[in-house]
Amino acid sequence: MNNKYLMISFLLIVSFMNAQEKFLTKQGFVSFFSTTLIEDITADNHQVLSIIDTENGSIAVAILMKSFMFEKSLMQEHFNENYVESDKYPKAVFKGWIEDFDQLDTGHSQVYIGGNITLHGVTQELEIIAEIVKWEDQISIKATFPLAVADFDIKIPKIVTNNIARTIDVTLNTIHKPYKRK
Amino acid sequence: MNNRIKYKTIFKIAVLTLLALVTFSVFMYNKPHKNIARSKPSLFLSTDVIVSDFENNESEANTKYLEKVIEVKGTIANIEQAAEQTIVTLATTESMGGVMCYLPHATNQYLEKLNVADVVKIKGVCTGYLMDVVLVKCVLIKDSNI
Repeated sequence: MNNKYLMISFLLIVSFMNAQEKFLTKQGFVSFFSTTLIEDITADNHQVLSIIDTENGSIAVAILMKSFMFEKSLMQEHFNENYVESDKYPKAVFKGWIEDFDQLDTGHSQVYIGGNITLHGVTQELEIIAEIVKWEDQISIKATFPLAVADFDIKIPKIVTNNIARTIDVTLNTIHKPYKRK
Repeated sequence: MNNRIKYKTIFKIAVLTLLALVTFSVFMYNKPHKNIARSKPSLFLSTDVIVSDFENNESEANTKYLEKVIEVKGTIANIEQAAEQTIVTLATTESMGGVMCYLPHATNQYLEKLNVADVVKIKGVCTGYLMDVVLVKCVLIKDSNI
């Protein structure tokens, strides 16, 4: 009974809000790339949740660590169990703002996105340059930026220290659509 | 004479051990990914149960479901096509969230026969909960009603 009232009041609030306010994707893409003389390692994640609030230009990205797929299952195991400890820290989260979002023209632009990223339980400030494409019914964001492994208290055992880069390249590619309720 | 035989045996054993070690490490390094089509699910659930578990206590649900092969039964709410995979969202009757199943085209047949409102069984690996529960590397179970 209580649930129903909650639901109804929630639906009422939602229906008053402008439907175009939030743009969202549940299938965003994030990958990372580590290159050393010994080997290249890449991992892809196609289940990234990203939400842009066009009202104030804020952006929130949530990433499931277990959704990173590696070419070799052993790498995936080590990544989850030893490096990012994904049982303890199952998600990485970025919360930030797209600078001057309200002044963006439709079409392509380059923007600064600043905010905080939390990964492996450690929060760091992050500022990146991103490629943004804004249309009436779609906002896409593309960016590549480096992350230093040591910044996030991720310990790499000595034996593989030459196999894993100190700084990994992260690529983000998200296509947001207006959020419609089912 | 005796000594020579001794050295020979030692040498042989050493070579064999080394070979075994190398084979083992190469095998470990190239250990294949879990074949979901051939794995038995460790849990059989309805979409309502798994979604409400995550909604009520996410960290408890994480320990229960993450990286496990799970078979869910539910009604299709949405079908989307992405690069090399079909994304099927199974609805729940009570909550806003659902179960998003990522079905790679390489390991699935009959995906084009799926329609919204079909009741299906899908097994896959649970990677967590964002707005929906996410299952990856999914396989459509044959006895689904399609």
